[in-house]
Amino acid sequence: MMLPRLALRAVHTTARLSGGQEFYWGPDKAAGRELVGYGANGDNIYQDRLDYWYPAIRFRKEDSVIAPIRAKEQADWKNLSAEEKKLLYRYSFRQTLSEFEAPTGYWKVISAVILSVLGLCTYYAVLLNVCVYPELPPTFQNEYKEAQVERALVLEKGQFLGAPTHYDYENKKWK
Amino acid sequence: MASLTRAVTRLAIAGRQAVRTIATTTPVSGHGDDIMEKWPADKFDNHFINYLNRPEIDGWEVRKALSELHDYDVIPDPKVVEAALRACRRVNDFALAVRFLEAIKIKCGAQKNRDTVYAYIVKQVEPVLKELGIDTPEQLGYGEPEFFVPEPEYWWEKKWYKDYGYDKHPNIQI
Repeated sequence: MMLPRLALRAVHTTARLSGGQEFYWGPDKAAGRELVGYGANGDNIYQDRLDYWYPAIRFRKEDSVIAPIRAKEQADWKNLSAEEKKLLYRYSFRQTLSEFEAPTGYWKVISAVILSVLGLCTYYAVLLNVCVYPELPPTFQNEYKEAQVERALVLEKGQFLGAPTHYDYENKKWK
Repeated sequence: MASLTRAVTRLAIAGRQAVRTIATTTPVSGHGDDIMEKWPADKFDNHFINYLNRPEIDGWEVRKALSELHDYDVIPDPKVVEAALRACRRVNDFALAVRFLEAIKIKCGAQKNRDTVYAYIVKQVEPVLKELGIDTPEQLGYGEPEFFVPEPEYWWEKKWYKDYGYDKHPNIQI
């Protein structure tokens, strides 16, 4: 009695509530990081984006390193040292603008892959032409094609289409 | 003559309405909304300055205002920048102030504009920066890249796995 049970399983009278949400790790990744804004779309994820430059959550969790600096941040900012200011930035954000815009160098990997594929394709085409395909028929040779044109000049003389229209029969040369 | 003009005007309006009703697609809401961009400059600036100057503003709202300002095709006026920096001070978020100065650079666009317009804005708000103790990204050394962060999905050099702490599995020694 396997079949009826299988059929029963396939029938769903209600739509599933969470389609594809079972494997969404966003909340787990954001756990412990302070939610500070809306971000690009309201999800509490960290993204560096040029069009939404203020991510929804801080980049790092609060820990014992940043806690005293956060307390110091409540007071006058002139008392913060340069290192503390940099730490404050790095705990809130992952990359600075100049790091975000710096070239990654991945163009070298990408062009290496593209050129190797093109090269392999060329080798494969040469292999087919040399070892697999038969000889071209003689009608592809230039001598044959020229003879074909000369034949047309004789046989199709006076017609209004084709090679004879371009040939001057009196001076025996092409117009 | 007047009635003729009116008739022509009516015709023109009717024609425009006819064209309008024929549109087969509805505009996607929210995109291409340039009502505020057509405001006079001081009205646009005051809109943001008034919002940022509210005494009860919180961090979420500061980021909301800065994100919206970032959405427009506008380089913020020094007065707006000043209000934003003071708002950052009020919600005690130093990193946000530095991030906002970087956002001005983004809005300036090309390097030539950054050299002129961004430098001008920083010069204009210099007293506020001094007063609040905010460093520009350049003073913090963020004018040049400090760290290199590789893309997780892209090709990695072998030694990066060790550098970034991904050599934990004892069976996979690279």
